[in-house]
Amino acid sequence: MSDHYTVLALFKKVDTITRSIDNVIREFETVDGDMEVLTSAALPDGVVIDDKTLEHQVQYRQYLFPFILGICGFVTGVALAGGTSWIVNLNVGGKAAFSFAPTGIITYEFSLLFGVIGSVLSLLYFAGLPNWTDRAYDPEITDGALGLLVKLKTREEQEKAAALLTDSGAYKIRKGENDF
Amino acid sequence: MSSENIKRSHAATAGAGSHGDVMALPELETYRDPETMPARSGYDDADIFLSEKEFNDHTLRPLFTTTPAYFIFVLGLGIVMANGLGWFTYQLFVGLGQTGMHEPLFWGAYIATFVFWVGLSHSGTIVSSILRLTQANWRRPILRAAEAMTAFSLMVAGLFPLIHVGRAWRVYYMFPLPNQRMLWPNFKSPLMWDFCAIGIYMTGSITFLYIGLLPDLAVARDRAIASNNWRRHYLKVLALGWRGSHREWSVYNKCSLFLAVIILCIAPSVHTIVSWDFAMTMTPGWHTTIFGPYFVVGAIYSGIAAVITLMIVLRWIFNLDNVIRTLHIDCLAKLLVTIALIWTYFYFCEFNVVWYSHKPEEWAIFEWQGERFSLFLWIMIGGSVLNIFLMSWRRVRRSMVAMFFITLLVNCGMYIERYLIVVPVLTHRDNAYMWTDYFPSITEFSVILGSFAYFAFLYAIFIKLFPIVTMADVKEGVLISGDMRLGRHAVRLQVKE
Repeated sequence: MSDHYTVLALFKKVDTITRSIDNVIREFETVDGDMEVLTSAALPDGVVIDDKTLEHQVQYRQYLFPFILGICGFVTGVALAGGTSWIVNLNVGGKAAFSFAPTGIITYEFSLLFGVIGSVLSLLYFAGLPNWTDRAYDPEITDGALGLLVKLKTREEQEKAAALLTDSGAYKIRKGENDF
Repeated sequence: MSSENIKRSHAATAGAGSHGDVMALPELETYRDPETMPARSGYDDADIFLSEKEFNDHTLRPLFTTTPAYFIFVLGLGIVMANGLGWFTYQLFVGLGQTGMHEPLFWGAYIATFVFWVGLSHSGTIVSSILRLTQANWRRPILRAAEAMTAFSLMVAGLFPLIHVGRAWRVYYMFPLPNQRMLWPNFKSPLMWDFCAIGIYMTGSITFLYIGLLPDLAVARDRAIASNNWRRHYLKVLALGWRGSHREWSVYNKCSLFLAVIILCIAPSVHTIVSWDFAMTMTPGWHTTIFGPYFVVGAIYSGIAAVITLMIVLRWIFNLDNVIRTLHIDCLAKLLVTIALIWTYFYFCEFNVVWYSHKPEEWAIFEWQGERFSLFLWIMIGGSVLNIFLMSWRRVRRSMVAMFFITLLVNCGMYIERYLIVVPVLTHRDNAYMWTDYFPSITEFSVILGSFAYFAFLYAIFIKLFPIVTMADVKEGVLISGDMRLGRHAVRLQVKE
């Protein structure tokens, strides 16, 4: 028994997909389903759907990853360069045991390195990648088709949604189970 | 994404639309017809008049189609690389004594080549980051090739300290790892800063390249699976299951923004630190405050020139005229002129201060350069001035042949510049009895030539494994722009967030 059923509808035009989203929302008003739009290029925010529709954490918390990792990098840099000169006291050219310039440079570089790592982790975490499982998808999306993926509770709703999306202008429909 | 959220969003965006519908706006694509609306001069090649499928086929052809000429080219590169590797192995056994270096000159062509490759790496990610952040529309097709150039230049550059130190097997002393002699890196040495900065820059650049590749890997993956191509195995893994959902795009764009900002902070610091390898010494000719920015500008100068050379070569070899257009070369050339002017200004500042003050130990270096390296000096300075003059002409900037040779001349000049920074200073040290001459040996020539072949080899392999054009960015550009009729002209419209 499936938890949910999906319909993936492919469209050719941006306007058609936006109208279809409205139709689905109207028709399945009481359904606590999900929707997702699949495109081959990033559409500007709000053209089809708005970033505000994403969860709060995706909207506002992504920056925390590079920021927190950047702080970790800062600490690592200080520990490596500053700590080394503190513990292994090698006086070169009359420089102080704790030398600010090298510590600053190494700390700067490590903060940025960890910032890079944090950015990548934020992408993987918030975008739910990697995900190599069989999910609803159609290769035509990378050739320019616009995909509207709808998650529904029952098979009847799935059939109804497929018919509605075809009427709304979808040129191809794929139905699936548990592959949202 | 819940339907409630979508509903709220649509209610907000639809505004006055009846029943919460999105207002029916005319689609931009309907205006995009070169037959019915000839574009205004200047916009003639900003757009791609191909369907998305045709565009994918066109740009992925270098990946999926391999001609015998490619194998011959790679074989040729392999021979040059093998020759370089052979001479390097010989150097490992015999020692650095059989290079042209001798007391007091211990930095020679290897170090000059190292600085050159690090410099070449600079424009790729810097240009990519700046153009991403400023949303310059013409950036789109060139980003991948520029970012790949950065990564491969750094991979080549990273070999030179290994080659130069002689005892390459002891390089792990540079890593902060416990070892049998309880040695620990001396972070007070600028060479150690250099090691960290270049390692971090390389990590960042490869990451930046890979993240930018993600959506295009998905396109290539779909093609490879459809055609049952062997590439499907690694493309499927590397694409990470990318589907192009709104959530993925939203997160991806933010991540790209973070990376662009971070890379923009790393890149100038790297070449500044490379310059400090020289400037932190007390050696006349090197110990100058201008070296940091001078090196950074020089790096961007040579890097942009290399990007243009690469773009032109890619256009010629893979017939990408539809994607890498005259407009892109023209815009890059304008950027190159700007950077060339800044570099010339820095060189003038450095020279003028020494010339006017005539500080003996500083001026002696310039005199020595003028006596022994006058031909090199003329190529470097004359070439730069000539290039600025030539590139001021629109016809030259839009000529592929002219730009190919101009950018090659720029990089010849920049290689010479690095050589003139390293060698004359060391062959003309403080005491006259130490003055000497230096000429690279056949080992150095072979290894350096091998490094160029290695760079080309990495690039050639990359083109056969990954999409070389930033397809998602180009598609985005097409999606968000269109032409509107205004009187007799077509005016470009573009959505800006």
